[in-house]
Amino acid sequence: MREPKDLGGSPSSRDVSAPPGEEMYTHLRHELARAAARVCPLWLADRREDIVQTALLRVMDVLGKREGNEPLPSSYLWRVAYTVTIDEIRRARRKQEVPLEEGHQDGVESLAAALPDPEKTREGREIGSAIRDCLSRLVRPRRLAVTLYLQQHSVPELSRLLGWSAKRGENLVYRGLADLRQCLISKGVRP
Amino acid sequence: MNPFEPAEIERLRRSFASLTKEALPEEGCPAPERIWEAARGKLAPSDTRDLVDHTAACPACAEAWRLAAGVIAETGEERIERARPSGPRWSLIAAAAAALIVMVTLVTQLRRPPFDEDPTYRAPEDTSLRSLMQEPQTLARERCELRWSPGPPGASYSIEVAMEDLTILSSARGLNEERYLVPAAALAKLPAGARLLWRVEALLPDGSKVSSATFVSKLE
Repeated sequence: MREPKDLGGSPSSRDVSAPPGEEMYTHLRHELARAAARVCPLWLADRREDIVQTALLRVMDVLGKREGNEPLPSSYLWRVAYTVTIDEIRRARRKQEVPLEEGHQDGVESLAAALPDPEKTREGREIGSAIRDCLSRLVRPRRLAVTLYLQQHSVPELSRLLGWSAKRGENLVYRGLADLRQCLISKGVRP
Repeated sequence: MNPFEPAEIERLRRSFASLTKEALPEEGCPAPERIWEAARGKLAPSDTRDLVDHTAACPACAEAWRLAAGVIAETGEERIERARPSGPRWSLIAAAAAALIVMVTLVTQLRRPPFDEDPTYRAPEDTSLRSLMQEPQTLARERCELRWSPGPPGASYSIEVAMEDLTILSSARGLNEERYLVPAAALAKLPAGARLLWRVEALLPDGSKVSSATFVSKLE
């Protein structure tokens, strides 16, 4: 069984083993706090401790139910931190607990947070609404391609994710963007 | 050719992301676990396409996707790569599959009618394990049998079955058949219509492993 001190670092390269002792508990908590710091938006920072605690309970529960010493993939911690954070974001949004200006920290920075002033923020949202409306009018394959392209994915990445050849992905992205441009112009929006 | 200038693309991306501020998650939003798996490239492409289609209209899930993709990219988490075993045998199979795909593509191109719409291409063969459960099928508690496609000859399987909150309900290792009967006792406390998440890993004779996507099955 691995020693707890071996469990840090890259989430894809290390495993977490049962049983959960004191040292393991401390280490898991540290790792989950690190993951939560990376995932959690700035506006949700005051809930981060709750997120870590919830994630920790979930991981400990899974570890406790595992048979033998089979390792739990360390990437699982990131997945748990992510899912607990998204649950908390959704809960906060449903309760309208989100502050006017959002932001993210520690690496995953909100693109929206990069908008510099209220006027540009308002303008950005108007363009965003127009984009969303125009996306709904695209034929589905082009809509999928453009959506992931707008989400910062490269053409090869989005092609693999969507199960297409790179050529087909490229074709759909550029045709979709052309459609999007036409649609935005028809709405009087110039990107 | 991209009809937008790079600066315009960046502005479009920021504007699309800015909708997050008014994002209200809907009842039908996919579970975060599913978004995470999709962003890792671990869902079947058809499932990913459905999920991405949802994010096009749902700023809350678009934000969740961005967060997942950002974390996965920054932490070096597996991204996009489909579950694929390593080892010489699989390399040969992959090479043969690639050659076959090239031949099929060439034949398709030669026989294709004149271009008038978005062309369709065959996706590469997916070597990962697939669920053999019928999608609308619900499972009886007394006989909750999960089935999946066979791995390579000589493979043995391990399986984990979990609730939607990722609590493990049951697991098994060293299975020699592509099926697993979830003990009725493990399901006793679940409500009607509960969704089971399950995932299979094949251990190949050469020691390499192939993991499936996470499948979802519904209890009756």
